[in-house]
Amino acid sequence: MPLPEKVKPYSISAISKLIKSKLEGEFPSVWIEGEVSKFMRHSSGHIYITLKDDKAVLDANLWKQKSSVLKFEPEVGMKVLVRGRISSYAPYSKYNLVIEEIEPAGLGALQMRFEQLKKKLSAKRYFDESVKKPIPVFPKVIGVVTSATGAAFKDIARILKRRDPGIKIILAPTNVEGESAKDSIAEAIDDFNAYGNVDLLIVGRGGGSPESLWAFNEEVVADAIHRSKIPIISAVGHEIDFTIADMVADLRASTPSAAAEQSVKERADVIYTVESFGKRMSLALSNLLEIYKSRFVSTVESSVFRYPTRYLEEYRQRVDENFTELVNVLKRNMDNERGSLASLYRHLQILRPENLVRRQKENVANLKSRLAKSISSIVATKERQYAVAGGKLNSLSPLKVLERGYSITVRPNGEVLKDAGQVKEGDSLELRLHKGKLDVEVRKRDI
Amino acid sequence: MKFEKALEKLEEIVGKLEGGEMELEKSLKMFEEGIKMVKLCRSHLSAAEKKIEKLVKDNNGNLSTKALEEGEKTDQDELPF
Repeated sequence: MPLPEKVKPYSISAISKLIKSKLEGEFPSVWIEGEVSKFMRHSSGHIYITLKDDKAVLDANLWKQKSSVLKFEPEVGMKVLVRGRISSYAPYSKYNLVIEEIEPAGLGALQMRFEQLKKKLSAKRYFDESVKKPIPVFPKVIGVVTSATGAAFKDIARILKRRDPGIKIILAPTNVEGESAKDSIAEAIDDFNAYGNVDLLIVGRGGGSPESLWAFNEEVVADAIHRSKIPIISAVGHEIDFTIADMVADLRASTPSAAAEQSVKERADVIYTVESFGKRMSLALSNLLEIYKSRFVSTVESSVFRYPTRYLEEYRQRVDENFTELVNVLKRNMDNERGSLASLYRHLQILRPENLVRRQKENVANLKSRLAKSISSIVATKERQYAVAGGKLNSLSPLKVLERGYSITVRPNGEVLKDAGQVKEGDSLELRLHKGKLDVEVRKRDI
Repeated sequence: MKFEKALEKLEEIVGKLEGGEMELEKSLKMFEEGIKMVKLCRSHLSAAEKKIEKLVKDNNGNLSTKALEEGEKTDQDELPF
């Protein structure tokens, strides 16, 4: 077929090159929304993604050098928003999208990443109550993983010291923001575990933007918290901030100050507890002694002690019976069981009435001395109470008041005079002073 | 003995003595033990104020603590985090 005049055909490579330059010139940066239909991370570090909608597909790639823009793990079926440039590979006359930015459509990238890590760690049972370590009730040494310069540490140290000055605080100064933060936090947690001698860790920082708290949503930090042998209280940002670290930690405190409040009891409260235990113990013991004393008294008054011989007679009779039996046994066994004679004899000795009497006597003596002791201690207590009561009485006595220079005016009928209206001019009265009394006459009334 | 243990023991002794079901001898022993626990708890609770320390790691990875200097934590107080 002859070509029309003045037409010069393109070679394949020429048209391919031309298309490439037109395409790339036309679409240096476009935003595209689509669904992930394929996702592949190549061993070279480059990432290949196929995007699609209901009518078309588009191949896209994310070069290794740019792969840090990927803050979440794309999954097939996920809607994404990507920005990039259209590029063409001339030898195949194909075009694709070179990704510069990628975000999940709908949720933000950080949020997506958060959800994905949460799901992953949940599957690894990081959040299970059963893997959480109990928080010690009375920690003596508390390790703090936070910035040395932040308000968080100042708050924690101030509150811990206020609640119990005897608490030892060790700070592991840590970066809590920026690229290095996650490794710095994880390392500090591991360091405390290697160091030992720490009862409890507080890991956290003060409030900030979600991005500035991000280190506490990193997997390395979650891993470090999870493997820590020392119980950890997380304390990140404000009440509303909820991080992965909070979920993995053994206890979440809403703020660093709250972590300090929760980790240590007020020393005064603990002292009160100990002292009230001490008081209850003394009271219980004195009640107990009281009970024993009354039991002892009733025992002493019982017939055993009043008519001991009656009981001894019973014993004697029993001993006689036993003795007879023993003699019989002895006779029976004399020949072949000579060895047991000694033990039988010992047995007999124990049952001898003299010994029984002696033991009962010892018992009585012992009980008597204990009674005397407890009575004398009760007397001493009563005496003390009496002395205290006497002191009180003394300070209230009117005689004491008189000693200070006051006097009491008494009418002839013995009534104490409180109102000048009760007497007339010329009446006689009696003034009682600290020492002695005076007979006086009313000269003038002034009401 | 750790404070927790001492307090726990003390609480147990108080419970037993208040229960009043032990022999006198045993009760007296318990009481003595309880007094020991009270003394132990008191000595724990009277611990002197401790200095704040920081964890330091040398080049070989050996960990130790040293006193945190006052300036280290006050010079940038105005930072919000």
